[in-house]
Amino acid sequence: MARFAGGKAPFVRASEEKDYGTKVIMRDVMIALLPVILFSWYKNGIQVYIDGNIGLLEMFYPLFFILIGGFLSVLMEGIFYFVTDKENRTIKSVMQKLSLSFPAIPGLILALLLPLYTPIWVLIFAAFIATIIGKMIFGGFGHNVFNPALLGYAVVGFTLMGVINNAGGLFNASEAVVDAYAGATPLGKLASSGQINYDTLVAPYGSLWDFFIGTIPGALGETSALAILFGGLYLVIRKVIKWYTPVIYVGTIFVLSWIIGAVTGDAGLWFPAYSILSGGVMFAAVFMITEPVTTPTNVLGKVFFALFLGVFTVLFRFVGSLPEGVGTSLIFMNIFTLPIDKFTAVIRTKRFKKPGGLYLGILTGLLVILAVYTLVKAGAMYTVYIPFLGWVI
Amino acid sequence: MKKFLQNNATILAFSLILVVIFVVGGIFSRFMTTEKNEFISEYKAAEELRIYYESLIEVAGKGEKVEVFTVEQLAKEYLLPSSETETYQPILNEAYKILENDLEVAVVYVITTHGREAGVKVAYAIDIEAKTLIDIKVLSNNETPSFYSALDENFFMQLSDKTFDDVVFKIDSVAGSTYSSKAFETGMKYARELFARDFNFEIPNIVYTINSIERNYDPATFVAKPFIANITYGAENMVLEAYFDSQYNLVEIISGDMPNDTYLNLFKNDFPTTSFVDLRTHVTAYDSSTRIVTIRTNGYGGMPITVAFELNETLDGVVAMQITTTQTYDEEYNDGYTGAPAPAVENAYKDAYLADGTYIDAVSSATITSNAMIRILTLMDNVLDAWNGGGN
Repeated sequence: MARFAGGKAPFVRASEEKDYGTKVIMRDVMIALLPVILFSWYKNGIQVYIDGNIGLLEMFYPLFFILIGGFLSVLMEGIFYFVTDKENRTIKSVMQKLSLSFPAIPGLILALLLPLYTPIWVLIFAAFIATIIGKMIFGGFGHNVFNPALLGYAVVGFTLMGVINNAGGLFNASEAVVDAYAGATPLGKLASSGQINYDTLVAPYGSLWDFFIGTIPGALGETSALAILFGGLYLVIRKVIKWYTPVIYVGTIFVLSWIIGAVTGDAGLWFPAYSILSGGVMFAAVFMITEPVTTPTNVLGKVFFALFLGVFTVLFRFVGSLPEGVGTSLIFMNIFTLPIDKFTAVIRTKRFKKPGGLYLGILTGLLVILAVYTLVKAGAMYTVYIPFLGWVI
Repeated sequence: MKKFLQNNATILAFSLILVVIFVVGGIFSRFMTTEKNEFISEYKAAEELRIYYESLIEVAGKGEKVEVFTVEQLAKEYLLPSSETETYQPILNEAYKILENDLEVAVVYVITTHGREAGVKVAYAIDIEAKTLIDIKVLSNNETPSFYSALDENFFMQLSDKTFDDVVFKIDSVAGSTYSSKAFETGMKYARELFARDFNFEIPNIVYTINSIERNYDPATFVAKPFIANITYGAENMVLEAYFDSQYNLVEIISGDMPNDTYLNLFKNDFPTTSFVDLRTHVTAYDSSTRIVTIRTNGYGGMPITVAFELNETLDGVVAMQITTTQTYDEEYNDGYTGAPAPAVENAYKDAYLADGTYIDAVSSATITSNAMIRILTLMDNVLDAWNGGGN
């Protein structure tokens, strides 16, 4: 009989060997974030400075913003530890706890999710939500239900996006004066126009190659699929993440988008490519849905989680008022991490016997229904006319 | 206090760090926002200017670069279109030089003149070498749309490729949009004055004076040569006395030399602006055998009213009149006339004139037709006076 460890992931290894343990994992994650951080600084700082559109001091702002994000989450967590642990109110004990908690990562990821011109006080507020509400109140590292960075981003996104837009939004100085963008990101154009058309969605930003490199408008860390891939490859090689989770997630979005594109009459591969290269899909695939605490632990659980997430991402993108579906779908799926883990654990042991078969049927059935609903609902937004849909939906 | 600080030093330190980040970070992000907004404003302004300069190059039809040309206003007044006495000063808003390979090829003056309303702002592009008005671009105006829209492509074509050496430097107005037309003509003339000042161009100066225009009452010739004009022209003040026909063309010289075509065109254009005689009314025919003098004038819309006067045998009175009129009273009086239908007004004048040689007062709400009839009867009386010294 298989043995299952109880408690919440990740499971802290007792080994003190080098290159082994949770510390190493988190160090690898920070290394993997490095290409994303550097590219973000280059695209929003150095390149804009070279274009002559900002000054030298402004050139350093993107780097400053990202690093401050990381520092804020460390600071918040340190304050929390200091305040709550009345018996051990020393710097040493705080530092020790921080060394096991890896507090910088949520802050770094949060800063990478936010637009460039987010006011610092908004970042402070988001870091508070992410660290204190999203992580510490649940019990700290390993006990949180929601992805902390995403929670901070979601709260700010729903409450303070107007403030962020008034402060400058996510367009850097070079992007803000490009008429072709018309003040919209690629996904923003899809949401506003409702048209699956290469000239509308891709051409104003260059080509799909620009989407891949990341020279398109977007949040600080989400635009460069190339930089994210470097980080992802590093994490896979270092066995920090499983390769199939991001592949299944991205693949699901690719397939569903391809079908939607085909249904609207434009069956080119450009649309599914556009779908996975725009917004936060790639970033979420590598750095967020592979997060060990808030996602399922077993293989089948990860697979179902990635499949559901892909379907919800497409659904929330095409149905609903928000242009981006990644954050909302991931927050939503975090709620079901434990149930998915439990169901898939039973499926692994019981296979098709009761209740494994039932659980498999439930999960698969739900997935298929959601996928079909997503395709039908998304397809109804566009020009193709499928007669019977009008009676059904 | 000291104890408080000692007991809470760490938390205070954390808080201080947070405050520092809040303040410094806040200042930095505010600075970023302000700089971005300023950059966007400057960029948009530069872009608007670039587009504006491109439009000026397009108007000039040549050149690749625009340079601001700093010049002063030229003090020169022009008649307000709606007035015969009041004048105004056109405004030179901007001036630019158009360069090609760093050579000045054109100049653009942006001038605001007065049409029906003030504020007809137009860019006039001038070829420096050819001394020609290349084209214009209307930048803004406050004219009444229904009048302004009458200025069609044919009107604006007059403002293309117009040479500054042209002595008759004017354009034809559009009927119903005279004031708006005048705005462009004034702007064009002012542009030429500016060009003359800034580029040492000499505006052709044709000097002439129409001293007098009289009627020819000689029955043998007054049909073909109704007017006699006395004109002084040229730098040497040559004097011309000649017969002109009803279209103001010179028909026969009485004394002096034949002027060149430039002068003849000027005379022809300027005759209607004089007030020596009523040029609209003239004798169109005289049959000495039947003693019928036919006089014609223009009524509403330039449409003719013709009266054939049958004279008595002694040619000193009118015995009968035959009126041919195109007036209907409908369009010209906009339903304001409530009397008998046409030609009631003309007949009323005829009856009164034949009865006792008098002219009735202008008929209420039929003043145009009334005045036309008065002009015809006046000319007839003048003819009789010239022949006899008496009327009917």
